[in-house]
Amino acid sequence: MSTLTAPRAEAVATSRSGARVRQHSPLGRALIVTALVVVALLWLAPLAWALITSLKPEAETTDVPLQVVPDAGFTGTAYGTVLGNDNLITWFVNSTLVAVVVTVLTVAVSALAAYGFSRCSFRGRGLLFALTVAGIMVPPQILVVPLYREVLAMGLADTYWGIILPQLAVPTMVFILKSFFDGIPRELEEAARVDGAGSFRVFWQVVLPLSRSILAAVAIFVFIGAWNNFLWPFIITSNPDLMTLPVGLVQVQSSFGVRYAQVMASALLAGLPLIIVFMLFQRQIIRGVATTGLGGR
Amino acid sequence: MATTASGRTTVPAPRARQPRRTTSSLTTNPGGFWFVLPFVLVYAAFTVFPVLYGFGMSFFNVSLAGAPTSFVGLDNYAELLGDSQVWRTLGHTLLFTVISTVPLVVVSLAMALLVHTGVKGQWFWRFSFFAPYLLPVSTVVLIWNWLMQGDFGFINGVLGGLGLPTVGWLSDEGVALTSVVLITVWWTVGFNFLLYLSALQAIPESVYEAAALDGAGGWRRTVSMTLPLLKGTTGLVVVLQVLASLKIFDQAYILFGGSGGPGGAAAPILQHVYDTGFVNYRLGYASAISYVFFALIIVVSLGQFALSRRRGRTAA
Amino acid sequence: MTRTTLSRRTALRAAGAAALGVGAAGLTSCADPVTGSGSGGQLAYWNFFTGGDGERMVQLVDSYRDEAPQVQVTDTTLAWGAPYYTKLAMACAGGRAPDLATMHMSRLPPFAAHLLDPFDLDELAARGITADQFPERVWDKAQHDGQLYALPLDTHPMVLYVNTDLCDRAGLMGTDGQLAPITSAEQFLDAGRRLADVTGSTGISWAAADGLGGWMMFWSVFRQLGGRLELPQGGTAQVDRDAMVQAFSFIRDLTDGTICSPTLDGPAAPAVFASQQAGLFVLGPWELITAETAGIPFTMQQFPALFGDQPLIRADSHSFVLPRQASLDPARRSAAYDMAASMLRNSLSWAGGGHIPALSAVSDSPEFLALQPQANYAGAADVVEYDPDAYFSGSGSQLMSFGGQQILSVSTRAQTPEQATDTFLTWVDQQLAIPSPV
Repeated sequence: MSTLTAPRAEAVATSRSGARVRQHSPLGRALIVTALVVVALLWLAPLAWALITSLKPEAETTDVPLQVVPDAGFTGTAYGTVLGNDNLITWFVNSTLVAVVVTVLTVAVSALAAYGFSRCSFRGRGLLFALTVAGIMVPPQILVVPLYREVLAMGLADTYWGIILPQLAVPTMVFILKSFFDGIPRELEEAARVDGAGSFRVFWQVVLPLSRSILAAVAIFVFIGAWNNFLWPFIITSNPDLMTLPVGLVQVQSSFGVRYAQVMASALLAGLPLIIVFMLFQRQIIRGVATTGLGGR
Repeated sequence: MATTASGRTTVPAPRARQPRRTTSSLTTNPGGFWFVLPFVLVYAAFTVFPVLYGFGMSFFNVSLAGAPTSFVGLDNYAELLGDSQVWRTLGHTLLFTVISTVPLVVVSLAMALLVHTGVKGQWFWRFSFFAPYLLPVSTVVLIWNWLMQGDFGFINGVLGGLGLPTVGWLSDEGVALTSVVLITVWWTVGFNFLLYLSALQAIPESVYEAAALDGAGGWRRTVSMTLPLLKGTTGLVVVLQVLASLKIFDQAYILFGGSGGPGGAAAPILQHVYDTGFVNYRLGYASAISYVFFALIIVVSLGQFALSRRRGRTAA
Repeated sequence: MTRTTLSRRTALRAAGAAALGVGAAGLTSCADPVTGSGSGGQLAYWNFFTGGDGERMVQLVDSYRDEAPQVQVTDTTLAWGAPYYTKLAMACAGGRAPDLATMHMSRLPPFAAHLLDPFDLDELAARGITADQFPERVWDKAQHDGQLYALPLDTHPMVLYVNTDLCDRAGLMGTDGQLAPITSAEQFLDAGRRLADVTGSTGISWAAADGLGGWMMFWSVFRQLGGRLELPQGGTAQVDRDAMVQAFSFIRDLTDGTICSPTLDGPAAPAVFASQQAGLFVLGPWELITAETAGIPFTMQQFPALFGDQPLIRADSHSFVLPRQASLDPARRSAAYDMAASMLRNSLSWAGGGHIPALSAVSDSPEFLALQPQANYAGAADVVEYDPDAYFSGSGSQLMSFGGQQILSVSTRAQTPEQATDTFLTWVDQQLAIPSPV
């Protein structure tokens, strides 16, 4: 089974440390470490400054010259205010709901289709698959105008389904999964078939268990995309109670005026959930993103 | 394994056997259309239909403000040719694509090479470089909008502290698009970094060992061996990045609150589509503009296919 | 300096008390069968007020809730700017319109055409609201095709914020606690120079790099110069080109880096005034709270006539509109009338944010006239100049943002006034030539 998982992506998550760095001279090693530290600092500084700002009293956020520790000491007031305002919680719940439903449905729909394209024969299969592959080229952004009119006509504007449904058709994922299924030796399925299993049972009991890693990869990729999607939810929601985090936060920006500590607190809180998930499942997420990003290789 | 999973039902399956002769196994599974159907439905409803519908709309004057729709033939396309805003925002989009793709590829490669040396703390490096990719765009832009403030922003504060001149990140027409690039690099470089890291780790250890026996030093080995081996990945990363950068909208829109930045200098073409359709209520014309953009994407995508084809052939 | 702040605070408290009085009076006057919807109705209301204005708007909504406890009011607050009007248009076009919504009157034309219902003057009169209670210019702007489509809540003209301490040191103060009269552009520029000497940086704070702030000044000056701009859809702009070049030239003179910085953006301009780095500040009256919070010695007054003899001033008005319903529920519509009337009557508290109440019963009331510094510029309501009528015009519109880009480019010397005029007019003609969505 291990031969079926993408070997390259697997390697990312399980790299052995120390082996190659020793091949460098001491000076080279020092340079490498310095460069890494500098880049990491550059990459973490924005988050650090946002965190510091969010912990300052509002009056001291705009102090010039910059001051790390505020005169009045750090305070959690901004977080209290932001969390006391139930909008952020609502948006978090909406984002979670939308992203989970989009992920589950997209993976289900894509996996079924990929299996159909990979293993079954039916009239128009070639044409449908060609049409699907062509869809990879369609940028979702160009569809917002007609999609808006369509979803409106369906009576789904300002509903969860209106946010979710247009995100479910992801031809790239069908393509990736089909490529993977193509690589599964058919003998395994045929054995099951000899035992009298129907197509769906073969898919469910043989193919899916062999595809856990690629399904996880696709799921992770879809989830990140749905969680961070801005344009479509921005266009289709006008009820603040239905907004997702990325859309709601933009409202926060204009409503809070110059209350920078609160803005930073909301921004960080909105980013936190996925960061925590990443800390817990770093290996799986990295593998998922690398596999899917490389087009299933 | 599969046998155990499917139990011990020993029913002969002539039905499955018979068509096997025609094509090796394609036809072993009947009812394939049912597998494809759910996808076909959502795909038809939410991709194929809007593509056609939008194209149709581009020949009409369609209003968001409730005015009756009227057929205008090619007028929208004729208008677009003379609409300086279309060409200006298209120019911004192309410029953004060029000046963002370069650092997004170079920095991510550098990061991957550095991390791949195996310095202790792999978890930490990967976290630092990749974590921003997981943040919602609004979080990213809110933070950077704050860092880039002219008078009390962190970046200008640091520049001032170092005795350097401060920069009008959000107010200077010549800088605004660069600010969007900086934010984009910080936010998304982690993705390319992972692709590179994954490619690097797929290079067999034996290759390096052989080189080490030849006495090649770390730096020379990188230049003479690793980089050539990464050629394919770089091609892929570049194409993916170009396609992603062309679709710039979210960051630029949010960073400048929809104004397009000082002098409109940071408005990409997708923002012009949005403004035309949803701010100026002209949905038909907005569709026409988005089809010009679509044409551009198709050209680049076909380039990608051609490239990966060629790569596939050389690899084979 | 503390005096200004203190007296304002007392005045506000008085205003609150008075608002209750006016509200109560209004309540009795409108206790008629039309409004007496005894059954528990629903009412959806949209607005875009956040921050201080948001809090005052919630007060207005709450006072209606107190007046009509049987009506369930759902108020939705969306971010101000283009997205608000996008969402409102979408909601109206999509048959999900709120029963009552807030709009800038400058944005009325494209909405009035298809998305709104006109007000029934009899229904308004039944609630004690008649045309003669509004400034003529404001009432006129609320009309579309001879019908009333917007019920004006306030007027917010461009005003002059005066740092009394800095202006005193620059020798600019008159005897009455106000600025000595400024009657020409040269005098205004000179005041800026003298203030710059005092502050050591710039004299006047004005947001050249902000669409709204830039446009306000430009449009006021252009109108004072006798400039006219008419935007006939399908035709070409009717415009006094010379006046426009002159207006841009004034902008250039103003933004020489001493009188005015050429690059202040929206948030920076009030911040510069609040930190006393400029003695005068030009914007709408809503930054009153910012100046108060900063605790600086200041007053506000009507923007003077720099050209000509009429102090024409760019302004806009918040108003209430009745979005067209997919199926009209008379009870909800009636409640919408009630709520709009109630908020107008209670608009004295709304004036706390700097806006001039539109309803004369409020703006002529002793309580409002005692409000400082609002009363100083209340007369501006009679000389207000709204933006030209076009679907792409008005607050937060494409006209404002494109015009603002030209203003900034003149400020930063990227374009000459002639070039900016040409760029602007070419663009305007392009917009007029293309099919209108209205």
